[in-house]
Amino acid sequence: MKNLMEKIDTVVQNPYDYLKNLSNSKKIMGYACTYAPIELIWASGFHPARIIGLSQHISMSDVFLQSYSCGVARTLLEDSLTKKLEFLDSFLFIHTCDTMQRLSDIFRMNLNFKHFDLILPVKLNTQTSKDYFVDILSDFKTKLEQEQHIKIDDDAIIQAVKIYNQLRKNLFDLYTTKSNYPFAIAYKDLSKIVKAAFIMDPFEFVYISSNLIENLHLENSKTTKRLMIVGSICTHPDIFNTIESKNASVVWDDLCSGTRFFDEQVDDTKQPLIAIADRLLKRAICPSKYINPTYRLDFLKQTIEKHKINGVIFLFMKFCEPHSFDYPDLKNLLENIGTPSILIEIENHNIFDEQTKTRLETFIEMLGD
Amino acid sequence: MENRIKSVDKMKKIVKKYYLTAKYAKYIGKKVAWITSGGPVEPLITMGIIPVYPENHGAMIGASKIGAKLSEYAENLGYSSDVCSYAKVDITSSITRQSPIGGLPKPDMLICCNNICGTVQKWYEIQARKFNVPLFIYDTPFCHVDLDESAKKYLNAQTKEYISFLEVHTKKKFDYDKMQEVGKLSVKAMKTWQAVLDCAINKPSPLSAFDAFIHLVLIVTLRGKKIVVDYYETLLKELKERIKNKIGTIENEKYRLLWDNLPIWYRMRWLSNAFAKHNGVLVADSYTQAWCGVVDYVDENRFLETMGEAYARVYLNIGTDKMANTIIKLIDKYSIDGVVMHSNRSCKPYSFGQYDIARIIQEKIGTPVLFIEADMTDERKFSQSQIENRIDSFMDVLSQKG
Ligand code: SF4
Ligand code: SF4
Repeated sequence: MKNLMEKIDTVVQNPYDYLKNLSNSKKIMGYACTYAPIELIWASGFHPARIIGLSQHISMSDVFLQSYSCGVARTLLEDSLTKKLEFLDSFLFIHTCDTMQRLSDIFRMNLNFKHFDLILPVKLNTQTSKDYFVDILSDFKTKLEQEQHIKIDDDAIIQAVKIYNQLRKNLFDLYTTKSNYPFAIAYKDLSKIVKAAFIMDPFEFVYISSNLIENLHLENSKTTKRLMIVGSICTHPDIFNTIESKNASVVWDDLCSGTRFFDEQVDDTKQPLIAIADRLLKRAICPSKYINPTYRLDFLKQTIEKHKINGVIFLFMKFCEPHSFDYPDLKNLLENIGTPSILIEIENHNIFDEQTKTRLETFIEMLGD
Repeated sequence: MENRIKSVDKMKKIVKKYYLTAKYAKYIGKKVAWITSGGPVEPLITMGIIPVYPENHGAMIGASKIGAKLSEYAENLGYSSDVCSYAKVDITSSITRQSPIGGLPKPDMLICCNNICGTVQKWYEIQARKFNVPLFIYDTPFCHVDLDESAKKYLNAQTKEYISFLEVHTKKKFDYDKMQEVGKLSVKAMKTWQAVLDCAINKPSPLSAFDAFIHLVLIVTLRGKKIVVDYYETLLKELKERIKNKIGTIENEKYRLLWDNLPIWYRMRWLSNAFAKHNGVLVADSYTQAWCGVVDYVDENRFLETMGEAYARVYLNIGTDKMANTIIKLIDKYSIDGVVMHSNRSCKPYSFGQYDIARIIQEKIGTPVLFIEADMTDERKFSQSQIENRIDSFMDVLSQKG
């Protein structure tokens, strides 16, 4: 277990080194959002890598983007402008929020990566949007074929589907284990494992994560306060340490750096583009997508019931509109069902200050035993 | 105030009547739809549904200087201080009924077109939950570079969906003949609106961007109704008269400026004076142009078939480089000496990218650009002395340029 986590740690601490190395043998396509059709990218010969900015200080990105934009956009831009992402061949932007939409233009106009946009539908609840989803995946496939000078056949996509299904299954199994046996693995490690999955070669990741699963000790003795984190990106290990050192466990999350990345599987018996679209349509949505007006509320309620959650931590990026618009109604829902919650807004997901730490600790203490 | 545009009184009457009709809609057997400002209103007009615009209401709230108070109320409910203030003042007003018109009439349905932003999607979800009414999302794929065939197909399919949605919720058949008429009137209104804005080509300009902001309400709310065309024709006549008599909006128009982004509703007069002090006039803007900028994509004889693409190509739904090109064309068309960019903390899709636009303008034509950071309705985000200083120095730069 220790050795395996060491490998994960190395990747997560220096994700760009890992990718730089990989770029010697394979072109790398960066992407920022979990709606990226990674199977298709993989099948085209690119290695899909989800890039979460590492910068702690923002300076160069201020030339392009106002300071009232979210930390996810600013750190990603900062890393690009400071040439930390030179190993990337291309960057794929997915249509999600207004900020990402404009960041895509900034990248296209100012940076040297080959640029791709995938304009997914916003509403995912109608036949027309499903048809459109498949159509644009097919357009994207054509663009990848042109870029790579190859023909991507269904078999290649199915192979990619199989390996990424396995990657998702492993993540899901790890999370399920955490929910069933909160002390089997620290959430800090779980979060690192997901982060490694964004970066690593999927075969290598599957190999390591399968071993990790086998080596977990499933003890069910102690009780703990069962918490869930809701938000966009949170990868800061100190936050999780703070929580889990207080007789509390993060047993589930609704984060795009967590479950939203691996929710649902692609049916490998169906026509692959339709199957990929199907998965992206039925996975838990991010708040920038639409299924019906109460979807996010119903989803939170169901997740709380399913994982017997005692408290919810909303962990938002400052200036993030999609998440913060959902918050008041989600908070009211939690009040109605008697689940305590706390809202934490962070400016930069790489910085975790003392004040936030104290607030979190107080919240957990307040939950009682 | 002898420079005042006189037609405005007539417009105020039309607007007043429109809001009264909307308020009493249920007594006259009409349904009310809330719709986003860039949304396809023509099918609603065709169906006899009264369209109501929360954003226009937000502008009124902003102009009455209660935007900060109403935003604060929403923040106490848990809405972030960093999200769009139009959404916040609407959410507040729909609870407290505070607004210059006592709040908006309750919607029977919500029509949300995301061609202006993703914010409206979240905002309308909130209101759909609150009012428990059906919500239709008209999803316009963003055109970073161009609009793919797949996107056009998706848009056209949604137009059909939209019509079925309206038929289901009004229990009435859609009248395609009426749609033809409404479509033609809508195109005519856009063209007349363009003609109104183009009066600003003249020196001195007979209208300012502030006048355009005020007159925008009709093209936004009642596009497709004859009264809009009639009104803008009256206005056009008055403006032509002013052109003939060389009546400008200030005594000595020397510097012609272009405004980018939404107006700062609560400081319109102050801003106008701050520039006028230096003989500067905001003669044009990128905002009010948005309601006529895509008229070339609409075929008035095939309105329904072509409206999807036109709605997807509006100013806020295109790539930043295309926005820059649009602004450069406006600079040329209206002989602009300087650009004022309102970096609007509420409106991320309008504001992010402005730095690139400013850079492109500088590189291509060298027109000076001033940035003002504020918010369109929330006066807490307006720092008057700082902005005044910035305007003064900017106008100094312009005067030194000659
Ligand atoms: S944190 Fe929010 S605003 Fe930022 S990229 Fe993610 S969804 Fe968009
Ligand atoms: S001000 Fe901007 S963010 Fe707000 S509703 Fe209008 S377009 Fe959307």
